[in-house]
Amino acid sequence: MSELVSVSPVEERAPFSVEKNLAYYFKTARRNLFNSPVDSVLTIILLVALAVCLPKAVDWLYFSAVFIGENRNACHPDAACWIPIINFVDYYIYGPYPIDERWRVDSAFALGVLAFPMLMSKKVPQKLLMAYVLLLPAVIWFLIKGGVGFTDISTTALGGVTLTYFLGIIAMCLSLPVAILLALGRKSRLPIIRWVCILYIELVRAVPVLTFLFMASLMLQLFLPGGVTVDVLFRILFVLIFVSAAYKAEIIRGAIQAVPVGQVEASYAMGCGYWKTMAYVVMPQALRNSVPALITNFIGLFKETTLVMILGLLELMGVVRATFENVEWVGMHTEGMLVVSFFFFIICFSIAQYGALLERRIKSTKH
Amino acid sequence: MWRLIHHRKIKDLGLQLLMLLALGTLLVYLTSNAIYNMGAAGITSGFDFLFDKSGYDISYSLIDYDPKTASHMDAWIVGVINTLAFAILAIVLTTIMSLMLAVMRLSSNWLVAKLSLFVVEYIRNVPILVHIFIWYSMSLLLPSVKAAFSLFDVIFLSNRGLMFPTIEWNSSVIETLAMVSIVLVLGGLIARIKQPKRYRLMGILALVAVMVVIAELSSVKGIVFVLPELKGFNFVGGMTLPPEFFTLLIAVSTYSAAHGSEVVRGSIMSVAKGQSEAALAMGAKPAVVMHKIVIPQALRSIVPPMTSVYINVLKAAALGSVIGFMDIMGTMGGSSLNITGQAIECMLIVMVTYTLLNLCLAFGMGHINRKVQFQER
Repeated sequence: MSELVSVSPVEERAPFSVEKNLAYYFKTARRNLFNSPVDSVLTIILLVALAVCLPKAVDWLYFSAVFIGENRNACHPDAACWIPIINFVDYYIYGPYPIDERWRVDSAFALGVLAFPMLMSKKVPQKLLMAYVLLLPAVIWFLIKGGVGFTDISTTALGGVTLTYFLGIIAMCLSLPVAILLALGRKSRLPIIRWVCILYIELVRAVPVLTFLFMASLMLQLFLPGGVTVDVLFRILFVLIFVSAAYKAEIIRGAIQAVPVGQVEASYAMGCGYWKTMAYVVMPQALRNSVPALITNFIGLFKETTLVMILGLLELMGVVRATFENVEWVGMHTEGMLVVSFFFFIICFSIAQYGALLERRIKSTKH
Repeated sequence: MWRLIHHRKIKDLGLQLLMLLALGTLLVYLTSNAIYNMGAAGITSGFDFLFDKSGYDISYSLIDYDPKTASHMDAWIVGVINTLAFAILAIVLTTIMSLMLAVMRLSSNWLVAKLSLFVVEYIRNVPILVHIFIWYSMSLLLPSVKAAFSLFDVIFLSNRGLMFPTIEWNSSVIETLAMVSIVLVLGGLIARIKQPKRYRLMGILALVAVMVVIAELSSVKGIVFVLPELKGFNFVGGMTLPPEFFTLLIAVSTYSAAHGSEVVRGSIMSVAKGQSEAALAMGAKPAVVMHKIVIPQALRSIVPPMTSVYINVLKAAALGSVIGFMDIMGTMGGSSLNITGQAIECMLIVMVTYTLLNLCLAFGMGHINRKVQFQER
C-alpha cells in the first residue's frame, strides 16, 4: 500500500528583522547603558565628563589653534600651536635627505606598503611572495642608502620618518634568518649548539635593549682592531637585528613545537635529511603559523626604534624634539609629542588590525 | 675513512667542535683587540675601581649616598635599590590597572567598554619613550611648592615631587616586643573564630589599627607619623618621590597595563562560557561567579604571559635615564662608566645584575604559576 504524500514546497522565510523605530533605539540604549543603577550612574558621570572635556579638547586642538604663521607671536597662549609642525613637516618625513633624491624615499615607502596587500592576497603565487619578501630589504637599502647605480647618501643625511622606516624594515627582515637559526639551534639534539643558543636567547632577553644600544655606541670600538671604525647607524642596526632575533627565535620555536611530530617523522621516513625536512616540511608550516606573532613583534620593534634617539640619531622623535630645542619654538613639546604619538598610533594600530585579519584567515584555512 | 666521517656520532662531535672553535677564535680575537686598545688608551682593567670614590651625585636614593665618600660599589647598590623600588611599585600599579581596564572592557555598559578599548589601543600603540616625555612635560606644569596640591594636608603634589608622611618607630625593644606579642596572641585568637575569612582578616587589621592608635596616643609616643610640612622653600619631614620617579612610574605602568589588560581580557574570555552560565543557573550572584568560577580558571592562562609583562616593567627602569632617574643602567652603566672608562667591566656588571633580577622575578612567577595550575591530584 502506498500513499502519495504531497508536500508543499517550503516557503522561504523572511529574513529576521527588527523594526528600527524610536522604541527599538530606546530599548537598546537602556540595555547597553542603563542596565542597573550602578551602570546608570557610571554612564551619566562619563557622559558629563565627556560633555565637559571634549569641546574643550577639540577647541584646543582645532578651533582656537593656530595653523599658519611665521613665529611664535602668532600663537594663542591657550590653544595648540601647529605652526612649527606644519612648517617642518618635510623635515619630519625626510630629515636632512637631499631634496632631489626624495623620490627614492617615496618609492621605498610605496614598496613597503605594497607588501601588505600581497601577503593578504591569495592570487599572488607563493614563490613571487617569497622573492618579494627576501628582496625587499635589499631594494629598500639601495633606494634609501644607495648602491648599485644609486648615489650613496651619507648616514647623517638619514632622519625623520625615513630613518624610522629604514631601521624598522631592515632590522625586521635581517633578524628573521638569524632568529630561524637560533630557534633551530635551541631545538637541536647537539648539546653544545643547544646550550649556546639557549644562553644567547635568555641573556639577550633579560637585559634592556637600551643597554645593548649603549654598548654599541660606547664599547664596540674597543673590540675592533685599531683604526677601524664603523658608522654609528650600522652599529645600531647590528644591535637591533641581533637583539630582535632573540625575541623572534622564541616565537619561531613555539611555532616549530606546534608542528606535529608525525610530519617530521614522515619526512625522515621518506629519506629526507635534517635540512631538507626543516626547509620543506617544518619551516613552511611554522612560519605560516607564526606570522601573527611576528607582526606583533614587528610593531614592538618599530616602536623600539625611538630608542636610538637617546644615542643622538635623529629619527622621527629626534627631529621633532630637535625643532623644539630651537629658540623660536622652545617649550612647545606637547604639540610635537602629540603628533609623534598620533603617527605611531595610526601605523601600529593599522598593522595590528591587519595582523588580526591575517590570523583569522590562517585559522579559517586550517580545517 | 669516508664512512668514518659520515658516522653520525663523529659528524655530530665534529660539528660541535667546529662551532666551539669558531666561537673561541672570535672571543680570543675580540679580547686581544680589547686588551691592545685598552693598553693604548691607558685604561686599567679589573674590578678594583668598585672601591674607588665615585664622585658623582645621584638625584634620588633611598639609602644614604654621599658623593664625597661613596664608592662605585655604593652607586651600584643605589641603582639596584632604585630599580627594585621602581619595579615593585610599577608591578603593583600595572596589575591593578590591567585588571581595571580588562573588567571595564568586558563591561556590559557600552560606553565604559568603548572608553577602555580606546584608552588601551591608544596607549599600546605609542612608544614608551613618547609616554615618558608626555608625562614628564606634564609634571613640569605642576605648581611650585607654595601652591602645591594637597590631600587633607597630608599628601602634597608639587614640582618637587610627591610628598607623603612616613612612620617613625620610637619604641624600645621591650615595648615593641610587647606590642608584637599582643598582636600575635589576639590575632591568633581572631584567626580561629569560625567566621568567613573576610571578617577574620578585617578583625586582624582593626586590631593592628587599634594598637597603632594606642602607641601614637600613649605618653611614650611609640609610633609617630611624620607629616611633610612647608618650611621656607621646601617641605621638611615625610618622604618625597621626585617628579622623575613618579613620571616614569605612571608612564611605564600605564603602558604595561594596556598590554596586561589584553592578557587578562583574553584569559577571561577563554574560560568556557558554560562555566559561568552553569554557576548563574545554580543561583550564584554575578560577582561570586566572577570571583569563584571565572578568575581562578583565568589565572592559569594569565600568569605565564603576565610574567613577560612584568619583566618588561623591570627592564623599563633603564629608560629613566632619559629624564634623570638613575637605575643600574644610569649609575653603573652611565656615570661610573664615563668616569672610570672601564666599559667592559661596568657593562658586565649591569648585564649580570639585570639577568639575576630577571631570574628572581621569573622564579617567583614560576612559583605562583605552579600554585594556580590545575591540581590534578
